Amino acid sequence: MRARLVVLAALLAGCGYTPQDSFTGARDPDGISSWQDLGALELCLANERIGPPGAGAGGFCVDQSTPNEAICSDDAACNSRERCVCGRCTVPFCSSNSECRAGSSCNFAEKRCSAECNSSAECKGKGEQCSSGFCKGRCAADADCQTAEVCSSAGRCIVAACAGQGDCLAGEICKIQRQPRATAQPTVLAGDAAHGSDRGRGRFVMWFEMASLAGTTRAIYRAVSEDGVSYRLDPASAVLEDAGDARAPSVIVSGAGAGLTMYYETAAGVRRAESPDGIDFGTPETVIAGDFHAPGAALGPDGKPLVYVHKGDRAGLALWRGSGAPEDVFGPSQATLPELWRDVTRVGSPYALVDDGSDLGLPVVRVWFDAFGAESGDSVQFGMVVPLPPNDSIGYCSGPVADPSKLISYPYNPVFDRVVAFLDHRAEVAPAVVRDPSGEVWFLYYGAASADGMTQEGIGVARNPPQVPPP
Amino acid sequence: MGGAVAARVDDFSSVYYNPAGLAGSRHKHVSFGLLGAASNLTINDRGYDLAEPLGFTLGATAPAPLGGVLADRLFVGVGLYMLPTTMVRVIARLPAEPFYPWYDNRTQRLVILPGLAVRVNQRFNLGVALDLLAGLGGQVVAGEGPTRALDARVDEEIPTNAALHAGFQGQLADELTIAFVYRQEFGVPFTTVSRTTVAGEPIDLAIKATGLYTPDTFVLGFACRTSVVDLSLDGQWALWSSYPGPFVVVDSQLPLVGPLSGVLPVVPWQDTFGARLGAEKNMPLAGGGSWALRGGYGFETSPVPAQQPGTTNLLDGPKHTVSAGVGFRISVGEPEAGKPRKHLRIDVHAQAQLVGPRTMRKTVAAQDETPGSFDALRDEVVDDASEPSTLGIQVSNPGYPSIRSGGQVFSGGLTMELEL
Amino acid sequence: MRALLTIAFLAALAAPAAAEPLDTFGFGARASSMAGATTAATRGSAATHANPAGVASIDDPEVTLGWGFGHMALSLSGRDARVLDPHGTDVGLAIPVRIGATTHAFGLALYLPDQFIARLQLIPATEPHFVRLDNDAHRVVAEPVYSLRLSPYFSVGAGVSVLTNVAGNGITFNVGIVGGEKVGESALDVSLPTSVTPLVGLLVTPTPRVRLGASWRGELDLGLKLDILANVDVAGVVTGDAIISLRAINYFTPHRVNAGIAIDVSEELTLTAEIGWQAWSRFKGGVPDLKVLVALGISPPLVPALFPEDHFEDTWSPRAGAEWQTRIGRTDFAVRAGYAYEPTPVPEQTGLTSFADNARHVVGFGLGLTLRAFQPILTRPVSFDLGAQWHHLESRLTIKDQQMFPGVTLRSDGEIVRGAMTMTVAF
Repeated sequence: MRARLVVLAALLAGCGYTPQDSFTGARDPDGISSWQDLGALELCLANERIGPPGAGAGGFCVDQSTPNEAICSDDAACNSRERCVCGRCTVPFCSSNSECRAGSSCNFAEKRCSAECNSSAECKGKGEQCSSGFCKGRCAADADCQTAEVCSSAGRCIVAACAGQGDCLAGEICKIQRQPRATAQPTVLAGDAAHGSDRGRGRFVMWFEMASLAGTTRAIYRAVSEDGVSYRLDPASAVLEDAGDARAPSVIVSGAGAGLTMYYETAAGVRRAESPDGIDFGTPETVIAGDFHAPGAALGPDGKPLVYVHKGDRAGLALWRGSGAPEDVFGPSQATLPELWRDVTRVGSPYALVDDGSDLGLPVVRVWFDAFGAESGDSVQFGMVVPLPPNDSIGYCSGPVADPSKLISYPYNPVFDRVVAFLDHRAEVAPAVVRDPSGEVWFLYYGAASADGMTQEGIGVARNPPQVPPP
Repeated sequence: MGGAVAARVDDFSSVYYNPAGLAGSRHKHVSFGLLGAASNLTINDRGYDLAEPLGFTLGATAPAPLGGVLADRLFVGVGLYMLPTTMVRVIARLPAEPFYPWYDNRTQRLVILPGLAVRVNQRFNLGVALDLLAGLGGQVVAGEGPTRALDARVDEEIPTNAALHAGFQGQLADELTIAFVYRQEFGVPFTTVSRTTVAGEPIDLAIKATGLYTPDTFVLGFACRTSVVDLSLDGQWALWSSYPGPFVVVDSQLPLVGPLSGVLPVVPWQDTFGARLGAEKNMPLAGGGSWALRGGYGFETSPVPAQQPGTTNLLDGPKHTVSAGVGFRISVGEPEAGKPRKHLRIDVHAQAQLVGPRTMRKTVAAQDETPGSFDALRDEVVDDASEPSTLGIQVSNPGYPSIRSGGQVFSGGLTMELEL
Repeated sequence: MRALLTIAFLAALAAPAAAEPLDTFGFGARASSMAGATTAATRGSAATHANPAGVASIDDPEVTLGWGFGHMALSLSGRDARVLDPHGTDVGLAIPVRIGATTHAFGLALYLPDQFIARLQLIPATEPHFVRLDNDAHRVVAEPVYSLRLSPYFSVGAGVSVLTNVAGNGITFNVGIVGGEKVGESALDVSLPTSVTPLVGLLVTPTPRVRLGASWRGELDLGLKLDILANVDVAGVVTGDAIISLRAINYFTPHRVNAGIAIDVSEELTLTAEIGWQAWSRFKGGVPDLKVLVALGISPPLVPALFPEDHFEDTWSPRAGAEWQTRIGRTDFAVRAGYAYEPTPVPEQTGLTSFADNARHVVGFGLGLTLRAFQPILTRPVSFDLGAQWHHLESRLTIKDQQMFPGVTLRSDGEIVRGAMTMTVAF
């Protein structure tokens, strides 16, 4: 046999192999920490986005003859200055930065989300120019601009914000993008079981509390999502009202596996209702009477419910096991950590999941909660030590299902706390946590507010593990 | 020989000067050498030193052990240049910093050049070599982790970077050889992205630079053997106009500052043209062996523009190179029956490179003008009549109002080659 | 005067602990197929890594060129650990020179990953990952050695294993105002200084059929030093500095001592056995240093991290190999096999850190072919070797401290399969 050295050397030197990307992200999400804030949840009622209460309705004036927006499922289907907002390509309306996605911020003068820039070279859209710190389109006529934009006399594509028809000119209509409604207390299920007996669409199903337009009553609504971040109300009307007093839902898959059970809060206590599909609920019954609130329910391996509630004004967590009165299980002193979470005075809004603990052979109950305390040390501002005020953040505790009253606080609480501009610790309350059916990602939903809790910002969403951008 | 060797090189240095020259090495050789340099360059009459002035060379050549039709057809070789303590160093300076880009940092690298040559027939040889090294690229991402302390994730790669050297040698007549060489452009890319989130605020920097750059280079050479002396002549064209520049491209996002991209001066780099002439006189040594006397001269234009009225202070000038050397070839080892004796070659050289003097004068643009940063400087403080200290031209550029450059670089080396 | 307050953190970074890739898989297909049990049974270019003393055991210069590909099917708690498959080229060189009765030889072992020269990867210590297998195979190995055969009975060799650090003066970014506009410009100075550790070997042949070998390699790592300074001078807006300073260690490779024996049981059959010790207890990469200084008028409060010591343990690895050779005509054939047991140095991860690592059983198998002087094309011998390895990771379940992390466990397991082919040419 004659060896052909040249051919063999070439083979050895240039053997093909399948290129493989170097994986740089986190590989084992645990749903505990750390979380990457994704901002405000996109909650759509038909083509309108539910916005923070008090922010007012908002949209843009467009010519009556303007054709309808293009339908979309993500931003890639839209033009450079547009976003996919509730299934429609349009320039997004905003009145705060939290309403804009990563890579853009709110141009307060025009009330639109725009890409920031220092020079025109940074603007990615064709023909765009950097003007007053934002990328803008250039135009000779309205047809040169994108959805909801008009061409100004200076040859720039601009928008005209409106809150109602009275803000627009004759021949224009005010296309509302955002309607303010108070939303809170989400609970989420994922996968087929979230739909009960109805094989509906949406990998994630959320139930949440929303105020009426007038803000006088509360009811529970249902929304679905494919990605865990953008939700669409389905149905558009409330699924459970209970005379305008239905709040703080918690939904679990029924023990029989063929339906869903909702626990929710009313003025009289915690009530329970059954549903085959999470939409039509039967007659509710009161299961925990008294000053107990914000149920967080899970189903134990024995089929019995584990319902955590908070007492009074978030005086601590209590556990109801299907009968009798709830027992105290976790209070502010247990949430307090001398270095990391000081002076915790209130603990509430529990959200519970049961992990079957297959590796350990020991099922575990996992509970997320909100608590009011000081989660950071003092800052230094221009040479002076300035303590930062306490606020609400999300914590985590867990314990064996065999004794679900023995909850152990995570040693590095709080697990989720938003900070803006070094010093502004925002408030987060009423957590809900769900694992994506693929197992790759956990989502945390929370009620967002300013640090002092006075300005409600709606429902926010975070993910675990944080997404690492590719190198 | 002033570097005029494209048509006559036949040792391990062929992998750089002309890979086809590997076919001239009919025996196995290993080589070792030392190179050193010293600077007498000046910036406004102040001395300018070279970093890493000392290096080592290692090389080996051998014919492939093939017989039959492939006997004496394939030749392999490798050349290495190493620094005493460093594999590579990438420096990219601030745009206003005065320095000599031709000499600064370009030799601060490990050089690995494996090559292969083919003797097509008695008159023509072809060769290729690869200039191998590395870059650095990746990212650092840091933010609050599960323990509430700052967590960082680092993913940096040192990728292999390679450029091609290809060459041809042809014997037009018994005494006349022609050569053509192409050296592909090469640089060490450095990119890194640092994304740090501290208490909700980003400290982001995306950095990109290319160091240790050499451009696409074409060389045409001739070698002529006469009864008196051997002569070589090389002409060279280097495409410096494609140089991306020695500065760092940066995009940033800083707390309270916001997004900011660095804008670099656009420098009109120029292609260079050079010519080299070398001569070698070989003479027998008493007692066996031979020795050679060598000399050479070379000239090359400068890629750096002579006038830089704005931010940059890139210093250089046309270069005249004068060199001289001597070499000895002696027999070593015990003679073996039926086998030729092995030889040892020792070569020593010295070189002086004279960099033409230059004076560059700066221009300050008027307040209402916005020239590119290469074309003029700007008054760094806007005049405010209510603040007398702001009036007049305020410029911190080190080359203002003018800057002078020039000088010499001296180098020398010793190489030993042992036949195996 | 600006108030400067340093906020320093010990970041929860895990520095990858790694043997070098040639320790994990062997240098060349022959060593791979014998599960690395070649300290006393190696010669020529292949000996440059296994035992430098063996480099001088040949008479003619030789070059080795090989390529190997490994598939890492590793999982963490039932999920794919997404460890990058290692593949790369082996290059070996041995040049003997006979001077009188002694043979002097120069050797070089190179391993070049296909995708890069090296990959630095630091992962938070709390995040489960394979602390050794994640990254140990993803770097270049360069081992130049010198060997001396003093007599047919005794050889000695020494050299260095070469790596690099990442250092330099870092990256500087200046932000200021020129002519009323914000301007930013940057400079960088990054170097890769050389880092070396010694490599020593002995080879003793007390009888023609018995060889004893021993080798020692010192400790080596890649030190990373990266500083980023952002200097901001925007009057009336913000003035100050932000510094990010990173100090870390990658590719920690412990002291290694191997001692082995090779016995020619018959003309055709050679058996080898050896024991190897690795000083993992000296692993010191547990808490690298990430410091952040924010001095822009406002300094936020941040949390310092404190991590326990790593407490890795030294390991003893037994290996055994067999090689059966025969000649038919002008061609030599060889069949090889080997087994090794690699215990894990990583203790139970019951606390905050989640370093995954497992004891491994390594089984190797391979074939070899040497063509001798097929005139007229081949004037010197050429050898071709194929080798395959299978690494089975013993499944490991760690239960975290249930008083701190109820219900949290870490399970790691998996398989590694690797193939290699090598060509060796004498000159």
